[in-house]
Amino acid sequence: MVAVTVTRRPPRLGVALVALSAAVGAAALGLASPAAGGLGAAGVAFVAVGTLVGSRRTLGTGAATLVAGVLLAGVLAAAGPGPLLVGGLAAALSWDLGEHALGLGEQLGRETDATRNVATHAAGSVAVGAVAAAVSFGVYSAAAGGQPVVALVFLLVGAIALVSAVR
Amino acid sequence: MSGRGSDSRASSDGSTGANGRNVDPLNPIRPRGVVPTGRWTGMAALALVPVGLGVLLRHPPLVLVGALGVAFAAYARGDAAPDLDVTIERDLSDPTPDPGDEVTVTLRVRNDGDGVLPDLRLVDGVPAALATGAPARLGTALRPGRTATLTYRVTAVRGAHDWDPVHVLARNPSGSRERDARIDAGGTTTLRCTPELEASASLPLRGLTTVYSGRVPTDVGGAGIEFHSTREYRHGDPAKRVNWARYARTGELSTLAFREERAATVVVCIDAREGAYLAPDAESPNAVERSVEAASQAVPALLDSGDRVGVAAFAPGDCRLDPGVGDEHAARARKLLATHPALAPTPTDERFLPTTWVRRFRRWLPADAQVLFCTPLPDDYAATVARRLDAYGHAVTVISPDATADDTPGHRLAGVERANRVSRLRSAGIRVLDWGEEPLATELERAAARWSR
Repeated sequence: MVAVTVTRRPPRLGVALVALSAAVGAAALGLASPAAGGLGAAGVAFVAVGTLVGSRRTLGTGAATLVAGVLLAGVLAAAGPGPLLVGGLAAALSWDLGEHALGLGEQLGRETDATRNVATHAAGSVAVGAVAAAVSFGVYSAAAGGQPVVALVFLLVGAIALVSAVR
Repeated sequence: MSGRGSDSRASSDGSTGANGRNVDPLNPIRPRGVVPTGRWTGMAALALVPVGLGVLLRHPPLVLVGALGVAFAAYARGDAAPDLDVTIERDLSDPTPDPGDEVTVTLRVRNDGDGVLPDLRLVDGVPAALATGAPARLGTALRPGRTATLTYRVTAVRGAHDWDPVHVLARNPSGSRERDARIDAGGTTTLRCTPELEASASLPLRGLTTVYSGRVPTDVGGAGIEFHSTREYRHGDPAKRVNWARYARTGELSTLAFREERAATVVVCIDAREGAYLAPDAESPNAVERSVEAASQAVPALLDSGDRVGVAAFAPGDCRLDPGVGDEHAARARKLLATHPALAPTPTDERFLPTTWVRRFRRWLPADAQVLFCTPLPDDYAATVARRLDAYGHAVTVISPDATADDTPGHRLAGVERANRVSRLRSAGIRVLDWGEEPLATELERAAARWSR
């Protein structure tokens, strides 16, 4: 009679995906501004450690650091839409994939085969993020002919209202 | 059997925290039905920060980052909970294995619904006694009509083991809502592991017997093998028992008497209280397992020698088998020892009143019955029961599997306490077989040489 031993740690594939997405985001931020890149690198470290040891708090800190890096790049270096979108997407994905992997680790453990689960979830989140980034970038490019920022914001508010109405 | 996740949503109170901490693996009390996971909480608020900064600094790309956050928030908000319509089938490679056999368990889960299940987590309800290191868990995604398979191995131990319903968690693609359900699996859900009864070395019994002839030598003179006494010839004594040698020498007729060998009634009583589930370490079988092993060696040995054998468990629940003889009785005893819930390899949490049990046991016990008490002697009460039964005239023999360890001071103290109980029982005239590491047959052999009749 051996006690059940489940290692309550996220599956390795999840950890790898999270680290990859965070690293891509940090690299994009680094291209735009070295200071933001440094903040992003700290975020990558936090995110990787958080998923490895299974700490939501550390993971959240890492994602928030990545967001801070994005804001820094936007505010100080006035970075273009490309790096900012990639950085923002990376921050959102690291939180989403990391939290998902953490949940899998808590409920199923590291020994359990959850490859399909992780891959499906990652594909869904990446698709949603990519489409959202592409659409907003498209709208931005089309409307960038000297329109004021407030116009973009109103466009965003309109989109939110539309989504709420459909829901 | 098909199960649909119950929609009855329990009160989702404080357990659904804001940052998705409602999933606590150590806390089995979770709300059933649809539960918001809260993992996207705060996303919309966070998305407003870059939008605000973008407006303030007149830097449009920051607004785009905000749009991205809003998109994720909308994704989480608009995502409906998945419809859980799955069929689960369980299959055992051998539903009636021998103890120690490896059994492969195959769990097939099919998505009977119309929608994709993007995030499906299964935890099989493995019986506590069969739980092994290998996880009986699966995380997968299932398209409609597809089947996922989970295979794991368990090692069979004695008993009838029922699988609990499968714990199924299904999340929507964004993971914002999850459905929690327990689904009964079809197919085999019981593993029956019935060890063979194997007679070991013959069991030395004490001198309390019935009127039937058997194997236990008594102090009564009569027909038999071992010399007992001689006495004057009385008319009608059988000619073959006349002491012809003496007649030739002196011319007087005398009769030889031999020890009469009679059959005994033996009740094998197994201590299976919660406190008797003791083992020196995690890998060793617990004392109840060893007691049952001793009983399943003693029962056939006694039946073979013509004794009447009954079985009882010093445990909650009525686990009693009236003394009897014959093959059918042996089969009944085997089934009871293997699968009775009171003798399960893991303790039950039923309430147990030992004093009431002893009273009822005495009422049930035939007057001429010996008691073979299998107990690890975990407390003074077990010793008291043995002494009390012995005092009531039921010759008691204690077979005590040693479940003590000597790795910590506390364990050593428990070992000393048990040794004291053993010596107190022995000084009260009760036979105690202190069963250590060696096989029971060896210990019995050694004890039989020591014990007087």
